[in-house]
Amino acid sequence: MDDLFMKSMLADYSADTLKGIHNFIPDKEPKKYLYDLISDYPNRGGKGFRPGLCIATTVAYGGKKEDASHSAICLELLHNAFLVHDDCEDESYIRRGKPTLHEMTNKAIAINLGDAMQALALQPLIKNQQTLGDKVALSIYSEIQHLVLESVEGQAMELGWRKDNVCNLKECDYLQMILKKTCWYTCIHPIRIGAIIGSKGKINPDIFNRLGYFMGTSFQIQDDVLNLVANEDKYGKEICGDIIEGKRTLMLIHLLENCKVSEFKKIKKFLSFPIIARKHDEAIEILHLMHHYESIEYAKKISKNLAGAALKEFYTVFSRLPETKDKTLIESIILYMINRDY
Amino acid sequence: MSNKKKETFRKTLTDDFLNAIKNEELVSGAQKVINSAVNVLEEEIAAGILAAKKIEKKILDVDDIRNDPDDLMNRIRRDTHEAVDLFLDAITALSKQVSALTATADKENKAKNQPVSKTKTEGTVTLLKTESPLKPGQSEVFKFVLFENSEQITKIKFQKSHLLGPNNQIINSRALKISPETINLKPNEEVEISIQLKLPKNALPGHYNAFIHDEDNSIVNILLKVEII
Repeated sequence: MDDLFMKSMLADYSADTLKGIHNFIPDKEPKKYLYDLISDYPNRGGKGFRPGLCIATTVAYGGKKEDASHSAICLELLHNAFLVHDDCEDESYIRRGKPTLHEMTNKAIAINLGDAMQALALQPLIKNQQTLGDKVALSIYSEIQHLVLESVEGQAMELGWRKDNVCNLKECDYLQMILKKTCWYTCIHPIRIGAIIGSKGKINPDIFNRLGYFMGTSFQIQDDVLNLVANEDKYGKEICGDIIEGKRTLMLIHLLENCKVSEFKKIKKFLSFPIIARKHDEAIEILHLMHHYESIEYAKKISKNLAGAALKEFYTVFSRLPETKDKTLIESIILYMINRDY
Repeated sequence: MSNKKKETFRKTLTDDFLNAIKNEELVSGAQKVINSAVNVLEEEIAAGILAAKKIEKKILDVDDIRNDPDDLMNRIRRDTHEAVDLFLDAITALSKQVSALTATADKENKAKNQPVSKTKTEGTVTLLKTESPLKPGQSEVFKFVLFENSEQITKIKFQKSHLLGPNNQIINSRALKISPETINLKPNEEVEISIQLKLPKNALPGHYNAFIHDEDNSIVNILLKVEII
């Protein structure tokens, strides 16, 4: 499967999910600062990674893609709710090429909107009862509950590091934070949920933990690298935004571990200022240091290796399943990560 | 692309990748991170399980329950009774079905003037169980009395099932000896029935049940419960 076909399959699943999201938005007041805004981020078009993984795993395990639609809607609504809140917490300006929701309105409205999206995300889970039965629906509910808790725990870890200006982090700290903040909700649970649906609750979902973790970490590192090296128009977020936000990426951790003491102090001082007081020129200087100490190259290598480990796990878990487009889709996503040249 | 070619392509790609990570420079850094990632994942999952257990403990307050043995025993009794009731209901429903079938067969096959006897046990299941658990090789005798409260003679011929235990374990029905096996119960007559259970020496531990009933009709239904330790 070539990259274009993979992206078009993801786009199809994403479009189906977007239609479903629209169906779950109440047609009532207050519209201007609540219900009309709910579909704003989803309409901007993401990669459709989470619904894609969930639906593809469902079909790979013998289910119908419609069986996964409610769970995919829930995953996508939660993802967008997290983005709305993340953008407030990170004080980001741009999301998918447009001003962030709190920039369009204000932080209070954006936080309230994120809350509403999380509440609306529960509705499709109730619908699962009718289509998948009590046992499977309850199992998915439990997966989602774990997903939300892990994500907020991961976010709390990173926000805490930023608040306390922690600069002595190790790779294992990063790996733990990213497992919680990104991997559970981006890869592990979408795959687990898809397999639960496809197998009608007969599969042990723990067999997908490593696959989802390796995929999720590789995905996150690549996303963080893109924030430093991508074209802003294509990437849809401000370049070097992560440095200005003080995000503890693998590149920053590598740089802090390898730079000179004087450089370390300078970076630490930069990170101690409030986000608004951090200057773009200084962020660019830190970016140069990341290039100088090969932190970005290092992160790219790690990401490729994690994608490779994910591929190995994929063959271990999925090899006994019949060859289907959906199984190949998951494999292609991993191969795309391995071959990515940014 | 044909499946075979696709497979070759995949293998080549994977092989290339695996060869690449054998490169020492990568192994030293990246492989270390992957190993570290595996450890982090396992620790996180273990921490999650522990946290869930702690919550469960808080909600159930196991220690508090254990500290009140009377309340605990009452709960166990209540739960056991409910479980036994459910089981007996199921057996009763089953025996009623068998009874209906037997009645139909009776209508077709038996003479119209053949009497149908009535006893104290009609429509119910009598539960017989040991006072205490038994050991493999041990014997136990269960006794009960049948009496005929009608004006007719009733012929009863006992049939016994195997003893069914956990994980589909079976103790052959030969372990049960019913005496007498066949009786002609006269009007207002009382007869003592004895069931001798001799457990085989290789019997596995667990709760076992056997069902004893009258071959010709559903009037006598006995559930024998034995615990082997």
